[in-house]
Amino acid sequence: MKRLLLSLILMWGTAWHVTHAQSHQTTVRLADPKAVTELAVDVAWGNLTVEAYAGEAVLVEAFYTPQGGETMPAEPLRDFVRIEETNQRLSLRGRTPQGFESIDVVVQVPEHMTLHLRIRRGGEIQVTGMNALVEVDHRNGSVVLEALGGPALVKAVNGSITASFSSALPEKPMSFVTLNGGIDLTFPEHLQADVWLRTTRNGHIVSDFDLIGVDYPYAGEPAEGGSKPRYSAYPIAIQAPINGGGPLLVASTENGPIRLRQR
Amino acid sequence: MMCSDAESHLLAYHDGALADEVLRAHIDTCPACQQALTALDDTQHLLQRSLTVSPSPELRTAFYTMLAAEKAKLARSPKHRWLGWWQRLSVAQLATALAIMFGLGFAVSAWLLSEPTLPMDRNVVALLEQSSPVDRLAGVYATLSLESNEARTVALVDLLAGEPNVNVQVAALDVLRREDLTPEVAEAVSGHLTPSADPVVQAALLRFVAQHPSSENTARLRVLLAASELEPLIRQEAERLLNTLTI
Repeated sequence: MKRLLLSLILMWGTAWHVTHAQSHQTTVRLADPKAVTELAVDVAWGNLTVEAYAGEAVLVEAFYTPQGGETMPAEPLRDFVRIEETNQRLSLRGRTPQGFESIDVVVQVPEHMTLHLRIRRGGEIQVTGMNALVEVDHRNGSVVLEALGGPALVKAVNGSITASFSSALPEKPMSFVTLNGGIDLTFPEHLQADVWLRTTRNGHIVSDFDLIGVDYPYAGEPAEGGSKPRYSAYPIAIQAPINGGGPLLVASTENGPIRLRQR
Repeated sequence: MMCSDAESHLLAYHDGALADEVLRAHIDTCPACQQALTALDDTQHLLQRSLTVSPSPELRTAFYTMLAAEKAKLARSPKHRWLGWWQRLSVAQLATALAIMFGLGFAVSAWLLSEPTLPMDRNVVALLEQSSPVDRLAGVYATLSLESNEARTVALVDLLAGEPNVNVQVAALDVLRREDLTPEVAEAVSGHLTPSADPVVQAALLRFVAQHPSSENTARLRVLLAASELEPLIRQEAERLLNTLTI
């Protein structure tokens, strides 16, 4: 009986392994979930989607789009994404593009893991629900961060940045910079920060928060009788405390508007 | 007798201090030693000629006249009168004065030999050295609390030299842009403007360079514009700036 049970377990394990090794998804069970605190994802072309969840493992899925073809599951996953666990970091690295292909990576991670996300060429980045640092280095495409409870450092070259924060706002500095694109940030009402805002051209700065010491109307305030913010051909730079000041909050774009929203 | 033995006695023999028959017999038969003896003769004659110069009779009078004039000049000089103060001091006062002078000398030399130190806040330095870019960004902001502009500048220029995070670099450049920098420091910062730099950092550096026009920065802009892969917005801004700087 014991031998039969052992055989069944072995057969099930082998089948699970074969299935997952050939699949477009895998579950990375961390040797020590408390020791591995960072997830780094690096792809050339493709979209990155990261969602926080309550588990301890990291769930990885990938989808492949060949040049001129349709999107399909990236099977087997190991041919498309290299997964490595070193010290405190789990790294997912997309393969070097073979022609004009793209690899979309979808990851579910424990909410306390620090994220280092990088797209070297183009794609979209979407992150939801993380409670630790989110660091983004993006080239072409937009960045959307939602329901964050940790700080964020975001750099995009050609693309807009949108970020919204939960009420558990970290007392840490943050920075959002892009060359081409608007920046739209939503914070809880009790945000305390010293903001450095700058738009160099084709932009405006509109804030739901009182930017203390800045003369109203802000550059970009709708013209009398109008409803849409005006765009300035000249640089606008504002440095001001919000709600008495706090950690540094930088939003800077060379080409586009900046909007600070209150939840 | 061998030449090597004779050589060490030649000078004494020449001066008449040694009357050695064996040595004399060797010199009589040895052309080399005769030549050496002749050379000694020549040297002696030369020295005698140069030492026979005697001072003119007026020299002594002229010297004492000049000495008297210098003494009179020193006596009229206020500096000289001030220097005489120590002659009026007692031994104890003189010892105290010497002790103070030694103390001051020691302190000044210690100051001159020591490494220059800047009033750098340890918390700021600690933040700038953290592995997390969020902490380093906090460190950049904390430099604004430093009273010394020089300390702030040094801290940020050091940071920029090895900072990998673009967000931290941009914030540091923003602070440096507001500082009154020496041409050397401005040049060190401008040096980061290279074709391989991140486009967002290039944009921040172009703003910095616009405030620090120099021939080096003009050359730097030309190198940047020669790069094939340059973001169109950076190219446009670099061209505009180059036109401004070369007008």
